[in-house]
Amino acid sequence: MLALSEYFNEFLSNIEPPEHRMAVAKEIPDDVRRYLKDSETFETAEPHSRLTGSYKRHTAVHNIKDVDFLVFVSYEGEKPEPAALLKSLRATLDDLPEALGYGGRAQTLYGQRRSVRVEFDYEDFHLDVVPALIPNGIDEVLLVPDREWGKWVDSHPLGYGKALSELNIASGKKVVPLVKIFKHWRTFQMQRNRPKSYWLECLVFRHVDRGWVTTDGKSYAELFTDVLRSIRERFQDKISEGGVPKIPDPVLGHNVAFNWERTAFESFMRRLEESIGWAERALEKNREQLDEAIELWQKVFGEEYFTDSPTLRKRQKAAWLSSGGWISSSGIVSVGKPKQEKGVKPPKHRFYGDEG
Amino acid sequence: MARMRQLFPWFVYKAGKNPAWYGTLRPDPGSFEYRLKLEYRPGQPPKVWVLSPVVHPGAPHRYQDRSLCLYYPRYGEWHPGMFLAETIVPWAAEWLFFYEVWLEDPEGRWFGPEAPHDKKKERYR
Repeated sequence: MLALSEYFNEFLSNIEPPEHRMAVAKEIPDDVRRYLKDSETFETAEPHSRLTGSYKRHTAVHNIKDVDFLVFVSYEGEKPEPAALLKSLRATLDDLPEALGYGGRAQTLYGQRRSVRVEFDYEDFHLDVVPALIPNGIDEVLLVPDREWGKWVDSHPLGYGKALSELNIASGKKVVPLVKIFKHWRTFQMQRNRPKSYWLECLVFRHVDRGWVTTDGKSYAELFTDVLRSIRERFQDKISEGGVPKIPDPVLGHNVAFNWERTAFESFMRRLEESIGWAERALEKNREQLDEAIELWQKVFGEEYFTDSPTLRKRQKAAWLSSGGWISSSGIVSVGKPKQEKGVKPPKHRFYGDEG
Repeated sequence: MARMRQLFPWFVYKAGKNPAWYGTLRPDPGSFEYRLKLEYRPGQPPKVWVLSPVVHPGAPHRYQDRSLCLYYPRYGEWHPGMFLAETIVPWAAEWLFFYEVWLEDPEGRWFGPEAPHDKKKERYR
């Protein structure tokens, strides 16, 4: 099985959010959190706010365009009316640019179903500020307002963040990268009707947590293929039965994909099937067929990724050679027996350090 | 000597006061040609130095005399019954290959097999 470990490492580092976006994602929310904490018109409760969402969970890819954070609302007795609270939060955030002295940073506010969105036009960036009540402490289930339903609903983003972190450690830190790979795949493969990033996170979480996909000793190439196959296996029936599958929230269990449309689901399954075909063919290649394997992975993830370079090719060769290789008469180190020159396969050995 | 001539014909033995093998290895088609010196005296382990081009001073897996550390002495990975041409020279080629990858790796990783180190040693650039 051909695992292009170094190509996948390079790919993962290329889909990471760029540093300047990370800086924006860090700076602006911090300012807004401080502003809300000090606000006299919107009373917050300890610990005032917490970052949440993919930025916080380190599952973001490419340009970070949004950061979610919870602002904890202080209340006594009766819970405030959801719509009224969202309105009050929006009114408080109206004064944000002036209070923070942002000058040229234009800001637009949008009332969302469960949050207030603050867009910073010059940064191509927005914040989703989600008010939350803390009925039983921040480690327990929180309540967030739902404007459409006119009620407070359960939410446990901090609990999910903790569960994901634990699963990631238990899996040899492979789950978070796998989520990133899956999100990038979705973005590349689907131009419209894309499943939400959070649904993809929930899918990866579920399939690994249930043991349907095991991570031990597997490369990212194998793991990603296994995730796609596992999803296909469990969603396939829905294609013939009709309807759409449920994607349970990892902590609360409700269906996070309740508004997934049939056509969007069908499109997702078509892309999934096609990519499984390419990935399986890529895995069947041997080390002499590196170019063909790279071409197939490029179909899965895009031509601007898995691009070949002498450095990367050499690093991949080094990863393969760690368990031994051949040496030709001129000294060329290769994975297979040299064809043009005489060669020798030396016995196993380990490089050692300074003995002093 | 016959085994060396057969496998690595570019290595020549220079007798004299300090007898040693001298030769060149190019670990990858796009690599430099490295000039090496291999010294082997009865009763002592073989030693290999890179004469040119100059090796990065922070390169891992070298002894204090700058000779290459090609095997783990305590586990008997090399013994005098083995041919230099089948062990030390190809291991030196591997060292050069992994060294070039180490030089270009952004994380300074050494991809070759490594023996555990007793004491902490700065291995990265």
